[in-house]
Amino acid sequence: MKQLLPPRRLIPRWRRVSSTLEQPEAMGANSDGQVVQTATDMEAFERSVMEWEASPTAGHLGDVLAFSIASDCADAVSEIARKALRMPGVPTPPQVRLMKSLTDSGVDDSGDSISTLGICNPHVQQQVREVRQLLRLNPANPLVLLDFAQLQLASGKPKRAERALLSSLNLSPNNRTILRTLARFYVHMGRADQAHSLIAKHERTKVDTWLMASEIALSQTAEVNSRFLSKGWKIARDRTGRLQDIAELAGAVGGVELINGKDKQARELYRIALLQPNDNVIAQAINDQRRLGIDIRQPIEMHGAFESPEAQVLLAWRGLDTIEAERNAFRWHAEEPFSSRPIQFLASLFGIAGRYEDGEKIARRGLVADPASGSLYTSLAYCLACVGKLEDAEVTAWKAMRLEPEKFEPHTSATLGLIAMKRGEFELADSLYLRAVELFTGRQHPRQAMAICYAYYARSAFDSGHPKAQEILSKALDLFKDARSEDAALVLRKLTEDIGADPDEEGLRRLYQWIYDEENNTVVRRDALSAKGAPALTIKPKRDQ
Amino acid sequence: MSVVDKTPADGLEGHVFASGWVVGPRIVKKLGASGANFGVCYMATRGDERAFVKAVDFRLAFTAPNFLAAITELASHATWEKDVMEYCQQHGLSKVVRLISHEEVLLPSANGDPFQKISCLIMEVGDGDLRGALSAVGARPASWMIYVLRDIGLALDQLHRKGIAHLDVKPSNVIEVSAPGVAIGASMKLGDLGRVVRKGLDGPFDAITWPGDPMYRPPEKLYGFRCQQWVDEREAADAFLLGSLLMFLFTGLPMPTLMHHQTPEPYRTGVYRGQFDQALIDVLVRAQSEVLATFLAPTLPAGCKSEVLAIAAELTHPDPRQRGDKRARQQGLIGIDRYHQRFLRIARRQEYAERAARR
Repeated sequence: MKQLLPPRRLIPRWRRVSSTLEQPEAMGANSDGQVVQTATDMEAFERSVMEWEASPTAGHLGDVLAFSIASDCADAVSEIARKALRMPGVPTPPQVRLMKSLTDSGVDDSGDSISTLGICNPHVQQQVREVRQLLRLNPANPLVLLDFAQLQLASGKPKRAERALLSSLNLSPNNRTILRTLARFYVHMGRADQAHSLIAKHERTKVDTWLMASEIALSQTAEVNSRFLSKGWKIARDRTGRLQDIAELAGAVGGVELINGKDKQARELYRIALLQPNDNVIAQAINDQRRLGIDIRQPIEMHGAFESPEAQVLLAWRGLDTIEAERNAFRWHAEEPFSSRPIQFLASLFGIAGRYEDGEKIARRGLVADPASGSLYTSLAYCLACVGKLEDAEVTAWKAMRLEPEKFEPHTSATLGLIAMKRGEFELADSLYLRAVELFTGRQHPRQAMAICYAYYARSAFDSGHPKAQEILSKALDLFKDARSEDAALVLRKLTEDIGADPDEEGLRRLYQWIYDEENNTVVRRDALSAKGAPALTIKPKRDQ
Repeated sequence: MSVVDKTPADGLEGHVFASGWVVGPRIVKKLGASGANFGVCYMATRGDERAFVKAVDFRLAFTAPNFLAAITELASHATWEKDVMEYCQQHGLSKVVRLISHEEVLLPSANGDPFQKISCLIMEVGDGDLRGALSAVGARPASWMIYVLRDIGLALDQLHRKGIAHLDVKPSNVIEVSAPGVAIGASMKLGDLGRVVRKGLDGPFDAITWPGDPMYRPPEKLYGFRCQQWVDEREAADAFLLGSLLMFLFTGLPMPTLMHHQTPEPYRTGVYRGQFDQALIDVLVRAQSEVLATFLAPTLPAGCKSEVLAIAAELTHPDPRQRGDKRARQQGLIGIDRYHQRFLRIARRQEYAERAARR
């Protein structure tokens, strides 16, 4: 269940390096200098082409392909590449590979078939081999070491991962990407205080908005005071710097305001963050959307970041689209193979769909990288119980509770209720489920937690032939109407047809509005949060004469 | 102002030099009007001997917008190249294309007009350049390729010992020269000294960040970076070009091309706005490793794969200050001499392995 996950914070994401390098956060400190351009010697290019046509050898072809780095020759080189691809035996295999990429006629062999569900992710194993090959060529490769560390962590080898990360930092001590990645690792390992200290004490943080943003978000995770909150607040408010460089900072400060109950300030900060957001900000905004009450799908500029797998999972989950949620959760899992968040979504989806064996496998895979995840143990216990492995389910449920007794006691009670249900011990099952519901009353969002618990109670009652199944379902539906959640909706949808996606577009504030001025016949954009439910376009009438 | 369509250099065919060389037909079209490329090329014969003639005249410079500047530039470039080639010949640099002679010609058609004088460099000619030698996949064995690298590495070593950096090592400037009696080896020489810089001597290209071919330049030059030390600024650039030649031999593609396409778009030249700093170098190091693993490694024979990969990694390191032989670098040198010796050992070993495989 998504509900099982810890609250999402705007801490750094740890993607594969190839994805991270496309993000603004990976750019250097001085990213506002001049672009270095050199004019192409077109006469040299024409001579090279002439010589290739007169003598079509692999060597002459290579000389022509050298011009593929010049933007003003790109079309001509692509045309030559197309012709050369039809000359077998002349181009070398590397030339063929390059030419296919230039003409888009290559097959993407990056291997996106990630829906294998073994405990050992074969794609991770393949990637480890590839990364090892790169490190053999040059062990002093700080960015490749980040990927190596991620894959080691996904394979259940955190010590090797840490060594690789520390080596990377040693090679490039001021690299922002490496600092943020190491901090993310420490959070994963339950060492949030170390993550915070790493960033807070680094000399670069006081002049780097991305590191400042990380420090603020990590301070929340570590439950310590932030050193850069007030400075970050000023930078975000005054928009000092490029919008894309202050997006996470504004989002992080907004997150603090949200926790402190200052919703109005939080909304304004998120509005700034969403002017040029990255995928992390988008995902956080979707996560906090209900609380913020803003329409985040409005700006066209967000389309790039919107495509990120995590954002797509959250949106699909919100829309109860399990197919898209599953597809994107696998993409997310491929991007962050160590993280239990996408795995938790997948385990939930499989549980809801009745694919319990798949749920068991994916949960076990998640536990390789995150063996201390009570959420995954809870999901695993659920799936084990549903397939009839009742003793294993019981043991696993208790494991979750031993990890964090206070947090997982209600979940363990619910799982034990399910086990009793499967055994036909309905009275015992009822008491365990009701105990779980009672334990949720003291939690954050208690009504929602109770509604989710009752939904699963109703489901297990129907699956097990409980004589009072219908009564339990009615109660579940009552609680759901009072406190909607996607987790409950997805479960209840299997039992009744009345459950649809939450129409959340009404009553949202817009990030900007278009104003048509009748007097001047112009349309201008007003960049400010609108009132709730305001239209996209308003008309400013002519003044009375 | 008069418009000049044809210059005296266009009419050299049939001329007999004082040294006895007879000029044959023109072999390439006239090059553009920029100074250093200005010239008309011919083949020449003298008995059984063949030579390459580069004829430069100055009349076309008068059509340039600023003819005084064009004249000055053309004269300095032509003189520079001639002087370097004479120096190399005098000092016995055996792996550099040899200058046979330099002659100034006044054709009969000039009617004694001294402004129609033509400056001619008569040079050793080869059997073609490296591009033609790589006719198709598998045309040449790996040992031959490594011998080529040895020859060019030796050429660079000879030049560097004399304080000369070539800066234009590319396949079209690697000339295959017939060497009678040579049973093994590739017999390649390095040609076109028109873009060299010389240590301690002012030249026309000193102030230019990259005088060589822009499509082949090292990564630091793509980003406009300059080093203070001669070794890092110029010799390291030649080392990169040697590494790029290695890539070209085995993959058919030069290193800058491969690096460009492997570098994430925000970091490519023409897009990137930052400095040539450690963050950029980290990205380029990663791209370099991917290029070597993806493109070079599969083409290398098993017997020499690890050694050649290691050399390629050292020679093409994106940071010029780290480029070169590790031990030589500790002494502040690139170590080009170590590379051509390593290439020779590897080439001989590979050649024996190829012969054994054929039996």
